[in-house]
Amino acid sequence: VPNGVSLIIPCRDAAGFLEAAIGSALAQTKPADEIILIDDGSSDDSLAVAGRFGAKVRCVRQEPSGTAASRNRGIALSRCALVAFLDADDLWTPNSLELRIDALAAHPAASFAYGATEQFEDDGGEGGAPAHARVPGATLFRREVFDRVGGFDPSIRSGYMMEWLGRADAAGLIGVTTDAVVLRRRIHAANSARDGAALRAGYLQALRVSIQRRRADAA
Amino acid sequence: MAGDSWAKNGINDVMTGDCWEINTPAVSGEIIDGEAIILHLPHGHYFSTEGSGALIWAGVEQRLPAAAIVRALATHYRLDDEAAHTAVSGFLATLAELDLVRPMPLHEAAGVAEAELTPPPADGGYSAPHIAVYTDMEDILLLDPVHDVDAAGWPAAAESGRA
Repeated sequence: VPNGVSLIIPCRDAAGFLEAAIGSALAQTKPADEIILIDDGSSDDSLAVAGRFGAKVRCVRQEPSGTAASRNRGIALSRCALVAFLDADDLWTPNSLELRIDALAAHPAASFAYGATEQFEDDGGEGGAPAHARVPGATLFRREVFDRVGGFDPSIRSGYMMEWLGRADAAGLIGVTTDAVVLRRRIHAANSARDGAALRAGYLQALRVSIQRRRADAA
Repeated sequence: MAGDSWAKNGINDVMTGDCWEINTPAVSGEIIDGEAIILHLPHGHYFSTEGSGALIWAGVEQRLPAAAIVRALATHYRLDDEAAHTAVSGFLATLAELDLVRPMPLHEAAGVAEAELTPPPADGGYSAPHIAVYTDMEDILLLDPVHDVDAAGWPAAAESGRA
């Protein structure tokens, strides 16, 4: 689909959030042309929840492989010229996709468009001020960029988006922003402070890969 | 102690008698193949050391007194005390400016007896300590944050978009 959007929802054990996530995608002022849910080996009812949406959501189940691999699988299966991601526990604002589609249409040289992310804690706590960040759920990509710079590195535990952006930057790809909040990102308050060390270790791994590649490119 | 020798040489600066520790929890770092990769999450910046910077970072990581780091640098790279002191002093000042380390009372430092610095593996001959600063992922790092991974399922996890 030339100007269509493939929405990829990576999911593992998100049954409690998935209906709201898919609902926010279906309620878009400009909806996606296809929704592909990659169930990454959930042990809960995620697939059953997605199944309630019938043909509107194409479900693909795979052995647990991680979010990066799930996104790559979705990209491989996508049939549209534009690719978006929505994590199974997050929400899009109603005109999220429209704003980003329009931003890309207005900037043919841009490879991706992103809006602001507003975080919210699921215990009602404040998530801080909205901010522009190139996180997958707030970004709409031209599908061809993944052919140019490759997909997400599944060997990186966390921080693979930064590693990908390092490659995108090195290839000279540019992104454009739209002012509005396009993503409401759920913060699981009960889990904050847990496994922070693992997260940071993953970041360090991703950043090191970027630094090394930058060095190799410079050499 | 190395501290005596630089005092004797008339070198007296911010470092004399100092102890520094990593500015946790804001800062985390890891030494891999002779370089330290360092992350300052609240600032959204990351860093890599070059040359002998990894050895000095390792000393801070091991909570050694600055004097012990000087001694280790001098021994490991066969430098004279003054050159080692200058290198360590300058590098620690840079780390402090970048908010990566903070002063620590000397009595909390690792004891002199255990102050044998383990050099980072895979570093070659001596070159001056440097640190490179990267700000290109500030948007993502600043967003990320406080909230962390949920081991139960990763859409819930920091890892996903918290990509």
